[in-house]
Amino acid sequence: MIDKNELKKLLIEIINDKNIREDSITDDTKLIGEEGLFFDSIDVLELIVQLEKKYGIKIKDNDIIQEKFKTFGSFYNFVSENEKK
Amino acid sequence: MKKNKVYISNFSSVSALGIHNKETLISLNNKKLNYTIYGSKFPYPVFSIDKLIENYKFESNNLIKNAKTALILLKNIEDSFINKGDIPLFVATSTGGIKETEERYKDIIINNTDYPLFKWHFFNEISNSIKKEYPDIFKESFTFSTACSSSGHSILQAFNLIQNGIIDRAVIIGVDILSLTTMIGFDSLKLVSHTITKPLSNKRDGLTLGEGGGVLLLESKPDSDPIAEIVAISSNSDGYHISSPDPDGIYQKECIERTLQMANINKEDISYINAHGTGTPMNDEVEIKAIKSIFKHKPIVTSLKGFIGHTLGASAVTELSISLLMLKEKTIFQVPDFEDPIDKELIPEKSIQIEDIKYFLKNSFGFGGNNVSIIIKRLL
Amino acid sequence: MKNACFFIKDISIINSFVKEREDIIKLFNNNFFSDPSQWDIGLHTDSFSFLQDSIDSPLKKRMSKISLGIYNVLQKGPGSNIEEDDEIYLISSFAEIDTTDQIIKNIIIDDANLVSPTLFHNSVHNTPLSYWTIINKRHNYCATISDGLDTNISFINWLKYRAQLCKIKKNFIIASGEENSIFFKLDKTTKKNIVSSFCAYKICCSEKGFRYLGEFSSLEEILKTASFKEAKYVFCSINEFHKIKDKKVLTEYPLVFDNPTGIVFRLALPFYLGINEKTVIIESHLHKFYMYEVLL
Repeated sequence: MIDKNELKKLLIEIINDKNIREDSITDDTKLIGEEGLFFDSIDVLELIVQLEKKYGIKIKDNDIIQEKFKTFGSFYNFVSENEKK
Repeated sequence: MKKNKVYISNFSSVSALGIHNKETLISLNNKKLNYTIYGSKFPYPVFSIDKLIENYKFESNNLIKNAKTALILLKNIEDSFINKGDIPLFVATSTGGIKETEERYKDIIINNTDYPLFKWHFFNEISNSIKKEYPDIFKESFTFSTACSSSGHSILQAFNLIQNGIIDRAVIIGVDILSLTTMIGFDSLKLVSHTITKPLSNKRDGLTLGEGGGVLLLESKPDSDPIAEIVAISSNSDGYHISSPDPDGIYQKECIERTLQMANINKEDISYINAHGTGTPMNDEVEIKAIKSIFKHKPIVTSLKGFIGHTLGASAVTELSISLLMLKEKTIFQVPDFEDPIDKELIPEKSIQIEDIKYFLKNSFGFGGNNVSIIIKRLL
Repeated sequence: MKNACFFIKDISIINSFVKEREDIIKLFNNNFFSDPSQWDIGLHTDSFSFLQDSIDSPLKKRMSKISLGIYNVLQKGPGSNIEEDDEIYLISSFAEIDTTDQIIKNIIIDDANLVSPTLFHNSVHNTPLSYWTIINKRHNYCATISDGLDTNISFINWLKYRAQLCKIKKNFIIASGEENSIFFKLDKTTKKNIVSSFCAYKICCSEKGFRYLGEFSSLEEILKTASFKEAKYVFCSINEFHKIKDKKVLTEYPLVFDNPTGIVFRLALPFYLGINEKTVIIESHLHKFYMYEVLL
């Protein structure tokens, strides 16, 4: 099982916004889209690279991102289920 | 003030298609594409020139690959410039000596080896190698580097000076080589096709990197009948995103339209467009959209990147050179097994014979939204 | 034909100890540019958070030191006076070298098969100008000239030609700078103190300002010219600094140390300082010398 805080730390690093800290993120926090924490597609790409490096998860499909990265909760579940290390 | 015409007196290219014009033409006629799988660090196709250049030897030892490629290009057109005194040199590259740095980096860090990075990593090593080979000809040089539109800028800068009589001639040389930084970098941006690039096809899923370069000799007073004339060239910025084009293509469109205006020709006079056509979903969609919004008469549109890959900073001058070759042959070549064009009316599915094409457009759109468009008039 | 004259205005020079014009004037009044005892490389620190503070865009989190520096000098200097048709040039010897070094380290030392997408798109040489156009939603012509240790001579020769287009293409913007990086320490064969320092300005065709006087084969030749003899001030590189006597000799060296693009800063200094007396500017490269005269 992946530590939730570890995953939050990863997100914080990428988002790189002084106002967003680990305690700002709950399971319902939106990640992508207009109200999401991610600024743009580059942030998402950074996350994809980190997921591959840290958890061995390769993402090829954009649809997966739209579906699974909607909230932190769905994102966490996705990573836990697909972790390859 | 009277404007001079800017003629292309000679040209050449080095790419996966071959060294210089004859070999390139033969390969264009082949039904096979010259790509290989790079290696374990990057297990995807690339259009390499290693085999092509390995037997070339120059007096200088230890040439970086970009410099070697540049010297081969100059050798190919040497007769045209050798007796014309000093010629300003406009270089373009986005890689310089990076491949050689990568190869020595571990040794430098772990074993503290001496390797003159200041001399060998940066872009001036290319022009310095050229100056060493031709000390009486190339004395002044400038290297332009703006990602994928780099050689477009070299051409533009030289064009402006020649057109306004500030210099009489210039040599433009654009070179780029494969490096782990560019291969892995583009892959990290999810822009690389893991199968093979299919520019301007609905089946496209990314670019394939290539290497090589192109050279042009530009003159206002050529000795003999020049091959072509650069009629107009302009450049602008999208001001939109660091690695994707503005989805509406407004500024690409504006760049093309301004170039048309400068050329003082009708849109219908453009019979062929050599697209930037990288094969990424976004680039090709936006570029075709921009083209369709301007040109209602259905010019032929193809991309050479299916044959030689994306040669980054060298792409504009390399592809312009190969386009001149194709048009001289009265054939627009299409890659074998091309399928499902984005636009059936503009993009041919097979190589086609053409009537004389007088004017063509070359687009070059770089990272950060740096756009260059060039209009060329064929004379021979 | 006499070479064209051009004026430099809307100048900004920024590094870790210089932010405003007053800072430069204060330094000048304290003989900073002519007193080697004040030349302390320790003045150049790597604290650049202030460069981020002034940028009103979430993109700033991604910008490298050089992108931040160039952005700041463009905004503070020519910024509000940059017109649609103005061409913008970045003159940088090493450009995004620190970013490139990080990528190579990732790939070669850490054996990564993927790198940060941000780092990669930042490694492109034109990036600092791209960020400026993107954040300000501008569409100007942008290009970068980069030639390592030879960037000074590339600049001088290119400027010589580009300035002659003044009557047709009027103004253009120059931005220049380098960022410090550990990459430079990896070259054991060459010791160069490269510091993070940035400048930007607008060059306009004008009746007064500075004029390029050409290439000379020795410093002695320059010293014999009427322009040099009539000049009160001489701005030169560190190489000439100790060789010229009987004039007020200044150098921008403490602002830029061994950055090859010092000449870009040097050209602007007489204008920035508002020096009204006749001035000459000298640069050397390999065994040749180059001179400009300035009259404001």
